[in-house]
Amino acid sequence: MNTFNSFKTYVKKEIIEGMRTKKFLVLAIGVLFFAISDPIMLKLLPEILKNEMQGADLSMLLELSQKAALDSYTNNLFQLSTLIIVLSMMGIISKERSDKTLTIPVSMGCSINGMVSAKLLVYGVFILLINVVGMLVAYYYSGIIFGFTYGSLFAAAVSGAVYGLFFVFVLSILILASSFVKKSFLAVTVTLLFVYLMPLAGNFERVKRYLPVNLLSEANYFADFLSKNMVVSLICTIGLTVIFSVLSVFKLERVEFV
Amino acid sequence: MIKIENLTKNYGRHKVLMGVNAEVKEGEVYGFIGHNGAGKSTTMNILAGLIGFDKGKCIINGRNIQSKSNRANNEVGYLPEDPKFYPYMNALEYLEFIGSMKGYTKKQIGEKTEKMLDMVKLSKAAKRVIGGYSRGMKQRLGIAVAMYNDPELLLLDEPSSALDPEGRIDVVEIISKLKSQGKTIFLSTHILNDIERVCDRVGILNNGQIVLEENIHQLMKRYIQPVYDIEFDGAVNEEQFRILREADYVEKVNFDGSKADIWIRNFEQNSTKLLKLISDINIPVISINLRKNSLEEIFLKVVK
Repeated sequence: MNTFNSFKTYVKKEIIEGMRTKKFLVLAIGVLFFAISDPIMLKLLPEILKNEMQGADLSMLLELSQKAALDSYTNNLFQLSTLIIVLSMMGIISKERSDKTLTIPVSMGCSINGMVSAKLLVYGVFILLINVVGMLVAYYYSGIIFGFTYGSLFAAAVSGAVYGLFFVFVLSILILASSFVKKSFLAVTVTLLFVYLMPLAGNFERVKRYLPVNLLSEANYFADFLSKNMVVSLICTIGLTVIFSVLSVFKLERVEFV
Repeated sequence: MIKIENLTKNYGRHKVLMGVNAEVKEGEVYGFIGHNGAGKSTTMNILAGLIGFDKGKCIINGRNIQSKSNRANNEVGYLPEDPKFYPYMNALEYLEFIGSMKGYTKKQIGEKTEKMLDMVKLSKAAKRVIGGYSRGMKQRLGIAVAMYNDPELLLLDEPSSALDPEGRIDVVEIISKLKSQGKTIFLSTHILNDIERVCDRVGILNNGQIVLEENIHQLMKRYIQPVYDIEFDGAVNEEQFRILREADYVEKVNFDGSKADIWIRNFEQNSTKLLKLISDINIPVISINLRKNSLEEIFLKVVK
C-alpha cells in the first residue's frame, strides 16, 4: 500500500468534510467577523456613547487608533475565536468515534496516524491561513479608518501566523482530549479549561516564556522581527503540538472503534 | 479458513464469550445464530480485528489474529450490523475513498467501484449523498465496501435485520451470488429463514458458547418429527382406521374427519412401510406431508 497516496486520501476526505459540513465557513466567519467588525465598532463607539454620556470628554476614555483597533481584535481572537474554533471542531475525533464512522475504514486497515495527521494538516493549514488573512484585513481596515500608525503589513502577517499557530496548538489539545473521551462536550470542556487557564500560569515568570499563550503576548507587539522570547514560545508550541498529536495517535491506536 | 478455539472475551465483570469453538471451511456459508446479546457481534468484531480478546485462539487463513500485525485486512471483508458511512459523501466518493485508502490506482478504483455498485444495484443512486439512503441501501453499500478488496472471507453481521421484506430479499440474493462465486461467508443473524436459505452449516451461540454446530441439512433431518400429516379424499371408514392403528410401527393416530396425523416408530425404516400400507388399504389421498421442524423451532429447543 502506498503510504503517501493513502495520506492524500485522508487529506482529500478532510477537505470534502470541511467544505460539506461547513466547518471551513464557520472557522472563517469566527475569525474574519472580528477583523471586520472591531475597527468599525471602535470608530462608531464615540457616536454611540455620545448620546449616553453627554458632556463627557470621550477622548479621555477611549483610545481611537489603529493600535486600539488591533488590540480589540486580538482580544476577541483569544476569547471568542478560540471558543468558536473549539466548538466548530468539537467532533473532529469524538464524532467519528460516537457515530462509528471509523469502524469500516479501520476494519479495512485505515492508518490512525495518517487520519490524525490529515485532520491536523487540513484544519491546521486552514486556521493558519485564515488567521493571516484576518490579521491583514484587521490591519488594513483599521489603518484606513484610523491611519497607519502602528506596526506594518509584514508584522501583521507574522502576527496572524503566530495566532494561527496557537490555534493549531489548541486543535491538538482538542484531538488529544477527544482520543480519551467519546463525548464531544467533555473534550471541549477540557480544551477550553486548558486554554483559558493557561494565562494564569504566565504569572510565574520562570515558565512564562515556555507557554504557548506567551506567543500571543509577543504577537500583540506587531514587531517586524521575532524576539528571543517569541522564538522560545514558538519552539515550545510546535513541540507540544507534535507531542499531543503523537499521544493522540498512540491512544487512538488502542481504542476499539465499534 | 476460520478456526476459533476456546475464545473468551469479558467486558469488565460481564463475560460475553466463554470458550467459543467453531470452524468454518473454505467456500462455506456458516450461519452464526443466537439470541440478541448472545455475543455474535462481539465474535464478529474480534474476527474483523476491531477488538481484542482475553483468551483462546482465532485463526484466519492460518494466522492467529491476536497480534495486530497478523490481522489480514486484505483477506477479510466486514459488514457491521449497522454500517455507518460519512453522510456528506455519495456512494461513488465513499468507494473511491476506500479504494484509494487501500492503494489502488485510479483506473482500478474506477473499474472496481463501477463493478461493486452494479453488484449491489446502487449504480443509479451512486451520486446521491449517503445521508439520504434508506437502511437497505446502506446495507447494500456496506456489502459493496466489504467486497471491495475481493476478499476470500466475508464477515456479515446481521446483514438483513431491520430491513423491509424487499430489502431482505435483495441482501439474501447478494449473499447467494457471493456463495456461487465460492466466497467463504460467516453470517451472523437472528433471521433464521435467511440461514435456511443460504447457509451450509450452522452454529448456535448460547450463554457465550457454541451449543450446536452442524451441517444444516443434517440438522434439519435430525430434528425431523416422525409425523405424517395426511389428507384423504373423503372420510376413512372404521376398518381402514383399524388397519392403520394396528400396524406395529404406528405409535399414534389422530383422525379429524378426512385428515389424519400419524406418528410412527423408527422413522427411517418404517416410513416406506406406512406409505405402502396406505396404498394397500386403497384410500385416495389428496396430500401427504412429513411434518418438519423449522430452524426456529430447532433453535428454541437447543437453547432451552
